Amino acid sequence: MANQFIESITSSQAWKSIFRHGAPNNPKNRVLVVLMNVFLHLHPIRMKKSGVRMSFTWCMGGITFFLFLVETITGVLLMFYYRPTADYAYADIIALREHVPIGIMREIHRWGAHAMVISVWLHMFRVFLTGSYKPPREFNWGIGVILLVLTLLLSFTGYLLPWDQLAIWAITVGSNMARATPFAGNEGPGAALINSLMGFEVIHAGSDARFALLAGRLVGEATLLRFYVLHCIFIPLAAAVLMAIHFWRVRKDGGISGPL
Amino acid sequence: MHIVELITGTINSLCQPSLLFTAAVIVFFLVLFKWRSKFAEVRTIIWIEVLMAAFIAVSMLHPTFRDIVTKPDNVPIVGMLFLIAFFTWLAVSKMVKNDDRIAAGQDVENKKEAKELVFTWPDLVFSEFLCSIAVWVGLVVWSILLKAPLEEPANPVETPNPSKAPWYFLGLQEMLVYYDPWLAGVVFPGLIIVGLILVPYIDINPKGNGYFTFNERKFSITSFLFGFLILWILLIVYGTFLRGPNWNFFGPYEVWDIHKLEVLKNVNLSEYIYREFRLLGGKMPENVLVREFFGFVAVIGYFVGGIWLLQNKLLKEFYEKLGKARFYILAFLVLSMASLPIKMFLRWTINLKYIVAIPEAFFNI
Amino acid sequence: MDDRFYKKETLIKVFGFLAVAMLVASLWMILDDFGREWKGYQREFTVLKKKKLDKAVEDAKAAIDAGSLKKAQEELVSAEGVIKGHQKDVDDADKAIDELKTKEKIATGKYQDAKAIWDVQKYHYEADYGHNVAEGHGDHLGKKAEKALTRLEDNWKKVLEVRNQASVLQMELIDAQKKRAGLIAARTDAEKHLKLVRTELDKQELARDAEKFTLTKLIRSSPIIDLASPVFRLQQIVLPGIRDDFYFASVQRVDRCTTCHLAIDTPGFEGEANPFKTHPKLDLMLGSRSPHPLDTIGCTACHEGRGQATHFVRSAHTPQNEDQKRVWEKKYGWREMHHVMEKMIPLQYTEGKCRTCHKQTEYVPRAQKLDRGVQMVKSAGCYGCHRIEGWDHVRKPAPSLKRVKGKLTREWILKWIRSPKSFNNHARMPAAFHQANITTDEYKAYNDAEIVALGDYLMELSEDYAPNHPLALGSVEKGKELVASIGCLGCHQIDDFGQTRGRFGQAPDLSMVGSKVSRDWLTSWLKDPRHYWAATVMPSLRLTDPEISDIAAYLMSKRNSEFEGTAAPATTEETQRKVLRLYVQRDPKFAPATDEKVDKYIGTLDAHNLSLELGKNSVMRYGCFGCHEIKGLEKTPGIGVELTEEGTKPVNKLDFGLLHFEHTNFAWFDKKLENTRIFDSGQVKEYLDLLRMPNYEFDEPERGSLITFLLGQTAQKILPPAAKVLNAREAKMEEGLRVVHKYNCQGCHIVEGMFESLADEAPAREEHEKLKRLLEGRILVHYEEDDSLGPPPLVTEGRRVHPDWVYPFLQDPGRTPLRTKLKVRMPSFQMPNEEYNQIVSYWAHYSGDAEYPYRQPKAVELSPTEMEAAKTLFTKLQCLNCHTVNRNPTPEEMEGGSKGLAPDFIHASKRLRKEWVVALLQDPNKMIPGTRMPGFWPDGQSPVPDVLGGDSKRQIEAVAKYVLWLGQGHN
Repeated sequence: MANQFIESITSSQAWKSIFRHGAPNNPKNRVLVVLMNVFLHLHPIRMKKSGVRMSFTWCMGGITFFLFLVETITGVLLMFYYRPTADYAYADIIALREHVPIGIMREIHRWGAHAMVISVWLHMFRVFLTGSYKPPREFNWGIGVILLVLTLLLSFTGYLLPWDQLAIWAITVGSNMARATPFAGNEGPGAALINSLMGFEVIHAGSDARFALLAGRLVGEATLLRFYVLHCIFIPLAAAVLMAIHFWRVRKDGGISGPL
Repeated sequence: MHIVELITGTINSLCQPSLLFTAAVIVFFLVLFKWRSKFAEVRTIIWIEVLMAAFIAVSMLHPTFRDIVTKPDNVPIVGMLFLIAFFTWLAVSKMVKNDDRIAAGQDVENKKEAKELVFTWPDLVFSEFLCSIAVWVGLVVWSILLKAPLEEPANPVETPNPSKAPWYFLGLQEMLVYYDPWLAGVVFPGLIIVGLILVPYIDINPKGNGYFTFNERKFSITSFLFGFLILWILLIVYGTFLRGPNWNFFGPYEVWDIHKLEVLKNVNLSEYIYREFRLLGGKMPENVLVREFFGFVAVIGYFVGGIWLLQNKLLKEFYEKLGKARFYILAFLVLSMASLPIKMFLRWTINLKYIVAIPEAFFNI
Repeated sequence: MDDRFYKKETLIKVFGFLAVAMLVASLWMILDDFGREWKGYQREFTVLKKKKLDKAVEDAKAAIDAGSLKKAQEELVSAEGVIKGHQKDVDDADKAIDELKTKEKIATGKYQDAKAIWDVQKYHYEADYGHNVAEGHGDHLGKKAEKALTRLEDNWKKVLEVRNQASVLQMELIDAQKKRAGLIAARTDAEKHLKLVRTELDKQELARDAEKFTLTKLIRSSPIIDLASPVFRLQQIVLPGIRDDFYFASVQRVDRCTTCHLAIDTPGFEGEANPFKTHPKLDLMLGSRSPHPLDTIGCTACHEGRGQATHFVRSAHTPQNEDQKRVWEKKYGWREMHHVMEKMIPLQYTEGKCRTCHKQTEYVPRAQKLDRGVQMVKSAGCYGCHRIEGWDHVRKPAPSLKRVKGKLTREWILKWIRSPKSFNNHARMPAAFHQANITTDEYKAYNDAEIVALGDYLMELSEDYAPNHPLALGSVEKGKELVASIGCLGCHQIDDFGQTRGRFGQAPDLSMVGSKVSRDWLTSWLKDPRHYWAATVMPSLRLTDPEISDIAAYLMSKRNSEFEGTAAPATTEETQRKVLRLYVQRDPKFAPATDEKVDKYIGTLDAHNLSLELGKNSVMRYGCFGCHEIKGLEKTPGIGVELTEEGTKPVNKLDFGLLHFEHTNFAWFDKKLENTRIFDSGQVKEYLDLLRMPNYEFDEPERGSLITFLLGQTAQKILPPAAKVLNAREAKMEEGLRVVHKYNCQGCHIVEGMFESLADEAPAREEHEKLKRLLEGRILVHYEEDDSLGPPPLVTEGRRVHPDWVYPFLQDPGRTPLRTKLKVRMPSFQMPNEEYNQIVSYWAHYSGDAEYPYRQPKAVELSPTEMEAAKTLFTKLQCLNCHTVNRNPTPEEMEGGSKGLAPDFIHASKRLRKEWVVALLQDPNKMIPGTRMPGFWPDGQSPVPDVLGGDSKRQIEAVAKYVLWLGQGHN
């Protein structure tokens, strides 16, 4: 009776249009489930046993990706309540704490970000120590390094958004270094050289690398907007693209590394 | 009461950068080269984690320590320390195991597994799925128990003291004590990124691909661990927990007193030479290039001499294996990395401020 | 299945474990969200409210008269019986109504359809031809148009026809309904009666039922579901006029306090514990009819705190004291919110926040503590050294030292500077030397060296002054009597008469004055204070020489022998050189100060010049010129930090020194005011780096008032309408009242209008009186046995007097003494014209309806009848028992009688306005509360029915005219 009912559903046109194969309880269907699913498709159909062993992989790459997804979802939820203007930013953060439903959204987002930084480091740590950057994975290691930088930048740009003292001073301190960029910062070596070569002040506090980063000489409302856009759109998009390449290359370069 | 003060005072002074950093470097090399197999034992990591936990738990009785450690943004760093300790141990113990196997002529761990294939479904997909749930549960519980920080509204006029960068950049901020911003904040981070990307192209050692081993790649692993654990993580610990108002050093049990003063008697190399050794009667030359001549000589000498030393003595075989281009890049990166601890030691021992000091052009080394 | 890496069983076990963990975590997350603190309060409040509502229903039930209820119920029963008798008729009527309703509906529908069609036709006609008609081309419309018009008109007739049908049916329906109502009228009436009896009960029951916690409400308030339409919801008040300054932006304030303080503006919860308590001053705050309604002022405007927060701790409650802190820590897990800037102000200082909105008045009605603080700032002279916006033009608080040589001896000055309190415990001057931070003998010697130098310097700068009215001393006894009776005590206090006003009154305490000044100076001063100091506010009392001699004799007998017996501070030239050396080393003129240069300069000074030079430096360092006028330093700004925004100064800007205590501004103020040098303790400092603010040793209530004042000095900019803006009338009053306060009129008189918004409210009036006693040295306490012997109350002055009379009167009150019997004397203030005008203008504006500027007094004419009637009434009512006409009463008359208490009628015409005289005669107590003048026409009843036909109005008119007529010099 129950079987009949299940049968009638699984043989319906609607069901079949969605699921192209039966339950993945035999080799054929296991191949199909990975092959036919857009999300699982990044995986190879079959892989080395060593690549599954958690004590070898530590799963840190996977956790990082999962945290990226968590950050995306909670981030979108937070965007519903947060306005990146000097008038509202701080008050909206208080509101998130005081009356917005699911009051731990911001916590999940913030702690998730911290956890992501740590998991990226540990991922890299494992990859280095197992020599997994060695051929044929040199290029993917490079992508990974850029992803590491993007993760830090994501966290850094997000740090400003609560618009409290912790935020603006952390960003001020962090971005002050840009002032010292050689040739591109107004307090960096070489700026004076460029200015004297050009005959007028090319690199000054209103035109240098830090200015470009902050959209002003100080961390101000323009910085807030700039960081918001970087944090919510530009860096996540860049990271998503690079992640896609990263995962694709993992698969194409022979899967998760293991003893040859 | 007296004993407690004695102990806290001792720990405070032991944590001084010069002492603790030096000790950490020594312990690092000892563990890696002498006590590796001892370290790889299970009970070692249990002891380490237990002792770390006990140290923190007992220290919580101290109000200053408690205030700093329980600051919401600092909690993850404490957690990270436990994780780093564990994973370092895990990696080392696997290295030791594999090295033993290689020495005994056996296959490394997982060698057989690497030859066998399994279906991605369900093994990998499931383990990924379970891992995600575990992380999510952890994240939710963490979020319920610890609230995200929110301080006073942003005020560009009121600078908090100390004002700190986000925690993962505190290693760089700590570097600012020893190097100018253009180096600590721009050049070094740039070199770290570029250097990391270049790693696979410099390290052409075919061994150790896909498994943990120490003996087969001693140099690369030592330099990576040194960079990560000592120059990155340890400096973050300094920046987070031990740097207080005015970026002064404070022991873990020391009240962050805003009035604390440290004697500032750091001197530039040129000042040393002209003032201390009475060169030209102590009068410094007007021309900065002349004035900083010795500094340039020292810096260039460091790199040229360093490369010569590495090429002909210390890493002779590398030079032969890697070829010129690779080797010089490697040597440059290694010397750059080594310059940080060297500069730190110079500061602690002879109060050297800058080797080359041209503040007029924001060019200090 | 063998090729699986993980064992199936293991995976399932791990999955099972993690699934449970995730379920628990998710539930925890939901409950964490659901269990917000404020919801608990709202639940609790529902129970509390239910109790109140139940009780209200019970009370209403009990209040119903059982007899009338029964009667109404019986009436209803009998009405039902009657209707049952003709039930058939009722049923028929119902049926008829039903039918008619149907028909009417159809007919109305038809009409509406027809009308709709006609409207369309009309539109088409107008669209096609209307504009031609409008433009006057109606003649050329042609046949088609005519036809269309005819059709339109025909159709209109049809529409009207249908409408009429509908109207007829409507009419019939109404008739049918009326008929039915007639049939059941008895019942309707009975029901109405019953309802009338139950009105209150029904109302209460309705209120109770609305609040009933039903199952629906329970479901609505369960987790997750409560997101949709919650029963317990956040309450918030958006305050448009009040914005938080967040540096980059100003953010509108939102108060959610009422989410937990649910009954804050509802009367009836006064006895409940917080957070359900009603605000204790609902008439002043939050009540809908109060001047500060909840929806415009909110909560944080006065109390501060994070209004957005909905949690006890996060909203930054601040405990009043250590005890409350401990209770809160236990009960609410209270801890300080370090990162919240707008922490609540402890309840005892809340009044300070009144100042944030009430910036334009010197005193704020009913803010007693704040007003006391303002008075303290004025009297203690805080504004002398510390700039406070709005206080810039207030006269320096202490006497001028420009002629001090003529008043005081050098020895006295030295002893006084060393310790003002050792001379008089009620001295206002604070002590700048030998304070807690002067700990070593060396520094103590330095202090003495500076005191001596200050004395020398002040004497050197002083102009010569020769007393111009030396007199021999008279009788101490008589002098004491005079001081007690003529009004000195309105401003001064003397131990013989009680020192109730503390240290900070209008004028100095005179209990020890004999040890301070010389006889000749004193007599000259009493004769004419302005001779010595032109800017003094001390008035002349027009004393005769014998009076001066007696008063001087009394005052010179008030001595402090202990003080006189102590030696003046002494120093050595060497010490003075040492101290001067410290100053010179820091003098920018000498920078870089080598020992040689400094020594050379100091070496050139002889002993006298050395002391003068040191004195000059000391005056600059201690800022004496902030309070005293010193030659050459009249315009030098005070040395203290500005206090205009002290209340919102970040706490980390306050130097706590090495002291560890509560890190709040009010705690810091308290410590500082208690001992101004306390923050030096434990520190190693050079002599010139030591704190130098002089010590007032304020006691606890004084500190409380000052802290209240300081917390009100905020950077917060509140704009109208949230901020109080004086209207023209209030502004004029404020101007006048400032003059009143300057000369301390309220020291003697009851002054109207100081807190005028409360004038009509009885409990407020009491508070008002209490407040006056706080702010003023009400001389009336010395006339308790008979108020009328004291200074008369200055009430209804705006309607009462002519300005032309006021001006000369105030110039020289002695010229036209009004009440001869009074011993207390109206002083001559010699104010500038502007200030007279301001007082007069304030009186006029206070009275509101008084004509201003006043018209000139007119000559009054009485008809013979009136004249006769008035004369009769004058005799009958015995007006001349108290009043006189153009003569001073003899001493015999005044002895034991009321003669001389009431003004002579000769002043009436120039002084009084007729309307006021009429009003006074009608009800004297209303115009002058507490007056002895009897009311002869109570409730419009005439005591003399045979004059002017007993018409009290005409009688009063006649008397009033007669009084003014007398004032014109007639007899």
